Amino acid sequence: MIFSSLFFIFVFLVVVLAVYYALEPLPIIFRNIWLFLASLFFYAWGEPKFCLVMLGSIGLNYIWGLLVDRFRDSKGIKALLAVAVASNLIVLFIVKYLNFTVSIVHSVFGEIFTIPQILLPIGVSFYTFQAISYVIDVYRKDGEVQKNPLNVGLYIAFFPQLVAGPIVRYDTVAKQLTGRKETVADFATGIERFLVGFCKKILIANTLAVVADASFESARMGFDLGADFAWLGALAYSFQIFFDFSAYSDMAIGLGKMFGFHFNENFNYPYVANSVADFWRRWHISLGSWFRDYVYIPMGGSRVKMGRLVWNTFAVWMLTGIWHGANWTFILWGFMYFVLIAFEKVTGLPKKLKSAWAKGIYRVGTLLAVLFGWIIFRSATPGTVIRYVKAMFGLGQGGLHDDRVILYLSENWLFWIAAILLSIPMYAGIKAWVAKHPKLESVWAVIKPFALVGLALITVSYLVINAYNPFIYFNF
Amino acid sequence: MKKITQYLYIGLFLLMIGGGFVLNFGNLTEATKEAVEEYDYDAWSIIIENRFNDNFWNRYGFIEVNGTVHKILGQRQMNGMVKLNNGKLVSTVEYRDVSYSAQNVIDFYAKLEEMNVPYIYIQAPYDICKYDSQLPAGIEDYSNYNADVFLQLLSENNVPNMDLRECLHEDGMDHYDSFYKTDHHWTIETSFWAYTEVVNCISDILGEAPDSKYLDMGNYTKTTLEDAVLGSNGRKTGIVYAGLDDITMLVPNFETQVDLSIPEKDLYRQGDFEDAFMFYERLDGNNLYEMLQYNVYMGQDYACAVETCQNAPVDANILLIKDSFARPVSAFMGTVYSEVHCIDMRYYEGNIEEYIQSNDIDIVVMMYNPYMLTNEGAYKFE
Repeated sequence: MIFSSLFFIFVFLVVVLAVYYALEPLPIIFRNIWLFLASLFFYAWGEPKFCLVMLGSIGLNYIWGLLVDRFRDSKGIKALLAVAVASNLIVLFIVKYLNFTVSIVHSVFGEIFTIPQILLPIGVSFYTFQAISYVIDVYRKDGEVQKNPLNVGLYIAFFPQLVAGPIVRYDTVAKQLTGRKETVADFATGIERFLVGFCKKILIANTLAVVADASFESARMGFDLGADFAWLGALAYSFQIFFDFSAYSDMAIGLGKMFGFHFNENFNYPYVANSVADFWRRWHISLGSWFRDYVYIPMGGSRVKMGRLVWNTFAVWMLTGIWHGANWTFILWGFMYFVLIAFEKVTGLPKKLKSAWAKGIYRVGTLLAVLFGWIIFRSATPGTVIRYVKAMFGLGQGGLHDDRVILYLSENWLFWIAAILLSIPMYAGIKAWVAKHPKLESVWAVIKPFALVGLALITVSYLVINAYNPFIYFNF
Repeated sequence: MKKITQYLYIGLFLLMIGGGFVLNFGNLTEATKEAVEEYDYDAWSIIIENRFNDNFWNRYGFIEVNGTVHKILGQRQMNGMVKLNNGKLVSTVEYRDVSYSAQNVIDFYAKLEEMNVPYIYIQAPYDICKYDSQLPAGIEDYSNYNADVFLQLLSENNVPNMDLRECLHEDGMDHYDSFYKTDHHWTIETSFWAYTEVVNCISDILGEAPDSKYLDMGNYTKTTLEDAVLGSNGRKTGIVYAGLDDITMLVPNFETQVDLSIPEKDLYRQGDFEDAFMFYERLDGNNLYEMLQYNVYMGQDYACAVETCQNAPVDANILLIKDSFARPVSAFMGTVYSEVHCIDMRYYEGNIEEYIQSNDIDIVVMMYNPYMLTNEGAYKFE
């Protein structure tokens, strides 16, 4: 089930909220049981069989948690921890990477054996990383071990962050699992956040997805793709993935608040980054910090010799690439970021820039690098990447101009403007300005809920007409 | 966040989702029932969601809201439809390899030749004009290109064919006035024009022509209903975005004695033209969204429908292999020939050769619009 569906909003969410708050007078365990059951239903909605993989992960990590806690001070704890992490990674490898690995082996040695095609359970990368976080955080005493498997289950399976993140670390929610308090303020801010995400996803991400798909499909199929449309398509995809992914995070954070949970932010205006490293401090923050705290720092982090630093960076970025999907393009994408981040770490260039011009140029360069990164990320094969980039420079068969540029700019002008404005921290500035005008603030306090709910109802109309509503997290 | 904002958010949001739940409860129950009855446990969630979405409360109200937004923003594409420069709604067709369909027709023609039954393929026009597409820059349509290639293949193999797109053009008729702007079909008046072209063509082949009164629109009563049609394209975008069409119906002034028999529906109608062929209930003005007003002639598409005329001027049995474009055409033809057998290959499951033999068919007329080339099944005759 996806958040941006009529069934989720008008059936699932209504029932889950109604029962949840009906159980409010009872001890929290009853609400947790209900949320866990609802989360299983949410996950099973698409493919019930995948639930078994997730339940297996929950059971396994519940036991690992108990063992790690029990033997924390023993000699073999590191080995135990390694086995625990490895067991999670093996499951992830089998369901996500085995087919890809076998295809590589076959391409090198010929078809020496066959394995059945394994379907990828949705969200497996997200919940596996959360499961690993649980075991490591218990070991580090960043969170209490859960004696009740239900709480481990709820932590891993909680539906708001289950299929598309953010990757909620155990230390963030350990206490909330059993000690949270639902409030009117949280519920209201949760609603606002959910509605903002819902509108962003349907109105902006889905609209620009049509543009991105048209351009990338032309490149994939070898059809005519003019240079100007190739650029527009790449730009559209850059906005699509941001507004899609950040909207899912908004909805997840908002839903979490409705049930009394507080998740960390996952995006912070990544397209205003002044360097590639800065971009990654602002983009998919939960993944970046996960790799930082559970991979990069344990490997020695930055306080090591240059060679080791480069190796650590290489390891993290290759893993980041592979995490996104079993495909050469993701590996290439991860490698691209390794090169860029290593360059910034080794040269320290972004910090050395002093003039506004130099900083501005570097910022533009960063955005261009990110844009080219998205071309790699979006393309199905490296061949498509090459065709696409050639088209961008007028070297493809579509020449320099493509009529679709005018069409998609004139069709979607409002959504382009909205995408650009919402990519910069404009709203915070407006909010601060409104706060300085008490009368205006009072009016805005009343108008805002009507405006947002009204916009949400318009957005619902896009779902009713079955407008294009892609789900881009199948690889993750 | 101020208290008032908090309570407004909670109140409005719960009203929205709670109201949506209550208003869709019947829809949800039906959707669940349908999924249970399907016994397809691998697809139960898909069945429920699709059914729930398709029957969402006040669906057409939401479509109107969406159409209004598209109109305000000046968007030319909505819900799979494209608004042409002249305001007409169309759906574009992708490029197709038509050789398979053409070969099936060529083989079918060869068999008919063996059976000594004449055949003609009639290419009905698409609502996008071959000579003036009116498409916004950046949008492509291959409907006419596909049809051109298809007809070329037929001609190269000596399969008789007639291209109504060219006839329309040569007759100086305005292409876009010949179609409804909210529907992909031609108007009833254009259907009548096509009927005269088809009858003239059949007359040339059979050597027997009806009296000219049958082909003269002056001998038909015209009734026009204004703003009475919301076509299938318009239903996807709503009235605000698409507008409405008028419909002009033509009914013969001369005496007709005709029957319509539809075995699959156990339906038998007889009397004059209106009694047998007109389904006026399709013009329910209170139900523009649900009724396809074009269906006022013949009601809908059937796998097989047989029209019999007791006072036919031409004693011939016609087999019309058709799509929806040919429906009004077939009704007019029903007053000229003793029997008109209408077969829709999208639904017909019988053996077409046996049908021809057992019904003493004198000529096979196949009349498709270019969109049918996207459906290879409509060209399979075995």
